[in-house]
Amino acid sequence: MTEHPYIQHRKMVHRDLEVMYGRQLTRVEHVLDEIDEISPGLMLTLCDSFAPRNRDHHGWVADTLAQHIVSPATITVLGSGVGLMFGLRLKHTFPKAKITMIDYNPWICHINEMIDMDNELSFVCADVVFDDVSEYLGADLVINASCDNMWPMTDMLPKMKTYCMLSTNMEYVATNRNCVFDVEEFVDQLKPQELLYAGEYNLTTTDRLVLPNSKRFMVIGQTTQRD
Amino acid sequence: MKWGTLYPAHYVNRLYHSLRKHVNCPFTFHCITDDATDIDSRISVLDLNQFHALDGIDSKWRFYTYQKLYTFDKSFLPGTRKVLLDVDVLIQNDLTEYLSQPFEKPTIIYNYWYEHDRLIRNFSNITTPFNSSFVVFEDDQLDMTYQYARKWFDKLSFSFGSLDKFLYYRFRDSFNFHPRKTVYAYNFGAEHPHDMEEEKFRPEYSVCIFNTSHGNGKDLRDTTDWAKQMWESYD
Repeated sequence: MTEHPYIQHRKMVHRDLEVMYGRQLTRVEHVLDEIDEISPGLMLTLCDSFAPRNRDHHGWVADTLAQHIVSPATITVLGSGVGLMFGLRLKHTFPKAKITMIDYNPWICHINEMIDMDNELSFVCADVVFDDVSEYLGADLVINASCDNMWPMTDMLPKMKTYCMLSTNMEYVATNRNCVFDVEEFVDQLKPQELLYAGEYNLTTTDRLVLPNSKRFMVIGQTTQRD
Repeated sequence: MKWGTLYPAHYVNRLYHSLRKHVNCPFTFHCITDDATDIDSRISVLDLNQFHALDGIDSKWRFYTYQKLYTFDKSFLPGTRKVLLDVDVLIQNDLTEYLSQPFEKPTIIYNYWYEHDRLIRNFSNITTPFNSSFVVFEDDQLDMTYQYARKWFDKLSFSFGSLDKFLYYRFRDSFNFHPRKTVYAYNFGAEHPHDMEEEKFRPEYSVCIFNTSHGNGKDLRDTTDWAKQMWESYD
């Protein structure tokens, strides 16, 4: 008999958390039980966040940032979603940085906090477009991981020193409103005062999620004259 | 509110007649419309075109039923208790006592038939558990939502695309909900997961909504059962 997908996803997440926090297995079980109570449906999302494809992609972002930015003391990640793994990857690359993850989904923020068992990151629940997040925009590095489903960042860029904007061409995702066709279109939308990097990454289909012809785009820029 | 051609005047008239039957205290029934043809002469007709356009109204993104926001402006019927009803709702039972109580906060429909897990999974611009088919509010209680929408209309259209989503994602803590057993949905059910039969008559409820904006389910005019019979009884 085939196992229910939910059970499969829970097992995958359990295995991934075990690898991360092998010494705290009881707590891993507790975290999974709590996620069950909050939303069994989030297990798939969480499961995907641990997928090898995402780890590779996080590595691409973090390694590219390391080539252009030297030891930021503070990093803000806007629209972080279930981006705990990304936050931890950033922490690995920039170990001295205080990293704040901002997302508007209160349940996701709570789950991220639970999984971050060593308290390596900070989490803030706020809507980047409508709430006042200006205190976080002054960080040495601001990353927006969700430009594809947010109002264009053009107005907010002048408040940032150095930023890394991430978008996709994944128009088939129902929540996406602001996809770009290619990295040139993304640069054109953002119009950075100083462009440090623009590139793309092929998101490959994995056993956990089908991603047809999907690409992620990254623009790293700087604001020379800030508001 | 009635705009465009989707709902003929008899929707408004039947709603008015149903309220006359089920609200036994003095009230004024206003219809904000761009076409008053065939509307019952006892109804106060307000010209939709007299309302000020919201900033960014020409937004290239859709803001579904933003027109309801006009009634949230504090200058609209100041100093009164307001009950905003969609024209395609069925009033089934007496609402006098319910509508006569104090409303400390604006009160809106929470879709109890909505799967909570779905909301958490899809917490974003594609879903909301709020439904503004039946909203009760006092005086200027909702003015902040109107002012907010005036300021951010374009961004709100882009980000949420509908009034119900806007109210949920930006103002959910400002609302109370109609109690359970008050409102159900003809096309979806009453309470997830145990009372979800579609098109079932639930006599203990006061209001039945049809909620066909998602393209699913039957509109009142397409029903052939108890709903049609009740609706036509309000002629």
